[in-house]
Amino acid sequence: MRERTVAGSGMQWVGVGLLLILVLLGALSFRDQLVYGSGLTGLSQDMPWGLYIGQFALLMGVAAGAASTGLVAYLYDRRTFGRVAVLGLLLAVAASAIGLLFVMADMGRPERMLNVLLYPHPESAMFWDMISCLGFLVLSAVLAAVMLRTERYQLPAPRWLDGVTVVTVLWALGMHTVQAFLYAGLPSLAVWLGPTLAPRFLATAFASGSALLILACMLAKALSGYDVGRSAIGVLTKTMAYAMALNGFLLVVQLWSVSYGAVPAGLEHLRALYLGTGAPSPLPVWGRASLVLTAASLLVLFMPGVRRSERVLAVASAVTLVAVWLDKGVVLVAGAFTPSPLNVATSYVPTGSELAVTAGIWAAGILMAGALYGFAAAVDAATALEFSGSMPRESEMERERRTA
Amino acid sequence: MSDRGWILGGLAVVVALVMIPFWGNLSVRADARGPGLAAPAQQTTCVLPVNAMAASHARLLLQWMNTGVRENHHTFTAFNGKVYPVSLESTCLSCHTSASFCNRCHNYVGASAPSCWHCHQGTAQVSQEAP
Amino acid sequence: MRLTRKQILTRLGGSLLVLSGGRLSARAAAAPRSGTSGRSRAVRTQLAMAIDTKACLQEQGCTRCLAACHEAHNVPYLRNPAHRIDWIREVPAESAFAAQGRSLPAPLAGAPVLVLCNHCDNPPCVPVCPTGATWKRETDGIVMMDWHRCIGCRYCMVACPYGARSFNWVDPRQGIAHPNPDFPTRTDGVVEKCTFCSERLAQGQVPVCVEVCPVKALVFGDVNDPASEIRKVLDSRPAIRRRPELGTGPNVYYLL
Repeated sequence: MRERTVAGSGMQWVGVGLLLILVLLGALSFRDQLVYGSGLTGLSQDMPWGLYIGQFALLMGVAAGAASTGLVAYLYDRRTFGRVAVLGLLLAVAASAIGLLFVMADMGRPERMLNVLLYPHPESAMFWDMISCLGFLVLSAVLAAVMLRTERYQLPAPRWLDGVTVVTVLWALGMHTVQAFLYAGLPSLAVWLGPTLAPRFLATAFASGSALLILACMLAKALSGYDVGRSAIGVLTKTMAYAMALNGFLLVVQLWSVSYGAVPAGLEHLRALYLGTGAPSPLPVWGRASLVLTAASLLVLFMPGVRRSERVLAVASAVTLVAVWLDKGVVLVAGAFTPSPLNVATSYVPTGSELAVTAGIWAAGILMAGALYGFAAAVDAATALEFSGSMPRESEMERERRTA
Repeated sequence: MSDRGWILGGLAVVVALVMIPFWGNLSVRADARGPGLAAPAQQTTCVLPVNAMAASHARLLLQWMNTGVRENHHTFTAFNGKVYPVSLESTCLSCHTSASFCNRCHNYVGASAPSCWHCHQGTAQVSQEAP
Repeated sequence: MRLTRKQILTRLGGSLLVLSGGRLSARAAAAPRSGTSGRSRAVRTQLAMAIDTKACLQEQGCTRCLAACHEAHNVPYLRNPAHRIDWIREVPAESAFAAQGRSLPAPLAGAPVLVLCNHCDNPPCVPVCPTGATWKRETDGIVMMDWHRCIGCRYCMVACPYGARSFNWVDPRQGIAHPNPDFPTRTDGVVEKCTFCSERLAQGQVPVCVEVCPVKALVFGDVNDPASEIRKVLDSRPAIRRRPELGTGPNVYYLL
């Protein structure tokens, strides 16, 4: 049952080494930030949130989407979708862990982080944000551990597993809705105030989560032979396509409703994002790129080649992921504060230190996901080794090879 | 028994590492008696009895922090009935004069002062009449 | 274990009873209580400020209120404009009153106006704070700050539609030339703003900007007290507020 593994190959360790260097550089820059203050970033009084919070929004969406898609499929057919559910959960664990790291990097006084729990304020969306992110991390980790354990020892699934799975899916949806509520309830952010932001958050969550999960599954298969199966990839592809389509429609709705009435409070932000305000700023480039890539991803996702060719699927997933990254990571945050309440259009450019911390945290997430996936693959291989005699278990690849 | 050398050597390294705090103290010739705290010249009593102050000054300061800022209540009635303004600089430092009074003991025992001096300037303020 | 129909009905009925009982008792507990002060709960002290823009503009180039406030409260002067901190500042009238557009009275067009925290009736910065580091004081209606509690998440800055709040991006002490020993500095990593001089209010004094204005352009007092100077001046002269349509209820009035 052992598929080929690339464990221990030279290239893999070079990759790990590079990632560790990035983590180290990020940690050093974060230490500088702790010593000298958040002024080492490119943020300012007119741009209080930037790259870090954008990454947080994106990563929690990826976590919620990847976990939910895998788990919902798993509820329908445990046998076929067990592996993709596990990989989705492990991706969610890594993504939400580094999402919380980004929040910690953004805070002015991170050593006072526990104040949110010591002095709870349920009227604050950020309070629920912290609770739901931590809870989701714990739920995903516990579910993944239980699923791996039952798989490894071929135990029957515990009675509470289905219930907790449903709770986790609902929790993921709720968590990401709360994250949208951070922006969508504020009169100061006129452009995002309104009912379209939360559904867009969820749509992009499913799109980006599925996209990253597809790429991660492809990588897992290439590096360790852990194959989630064609049906699972198919479910992820369909989810990604329809979620991105919904996002596209809601984007049109959002743009129309803000710009048709031409109420300046919201319209000025759209102008800064897409048309430029006259002052030189890199923002319109990013805003337009986000629109173009969203349209491009929709084009690629609905091409027939996506169902036939893995290469096209990989490209489609990558384009979707980048489109959502631009949308949630850049447009959402920069657009909210350009222009500022005092009508100042800041040109926000992240500093080297800020980019180093960002790259370091992403590298840590990739290392974490890699380690978790390696663990899942090892569990799978050990299971196959132990039970190949007593309980025949065939992966899709084996079956295809056999029937080809 | 060819591992004896490794085992003994490893044990020696571990013991040396564990005793780092003691090496540190030896290197600075730390005084086991601790920093002597001189009583302030002006006053003979504090807001709490001396033993209570030694035991719970941290709790008192945290209480004053919330009373003064969050409850907008700016007076404290001491155990002897005397009324003091709720203020680190106006009350505490008016007798104990400067942050070094606090830092000497805190540094000695390694209990870092909870960042009061990041904001509070550690020098006595002009004492304000309590309303 | 299969539930019988009888058991299902009993449990449903029981839980309905418990839920409805809970909701009734919660409603009873939330019934309004009478106020403890002499005034009814609806009319309480709300400290407010009225800025006479006409008088202020007569003193061209005067910055005494800005200097007094920032010196009294150890607000740093930092050379990097991205890191500047202001408890009160001057901005072009078009920035403060963007929605007014052409209806801004002629003397104000292109002129600087003072902006500061509006100590709103419904401050949007208060409910968003996850730790309660900022709150609206019951006794006098000012929006207070607790710099011990603030974790520096800057959500209040995001929520404020007036740009009234500033964040300490770097250690402020590097920008304070002459620290005032009677007031703490802040540390890097916390948000700060005007507190209507809460330390002076505790002594029964008015904010320092009000006191030092050479033309008495700043009027301060309880806007709900019919006998107060600010109530009288607001009843006798037209005034505008910043972005009133947002429902925040700002308590800084600009007399035209």
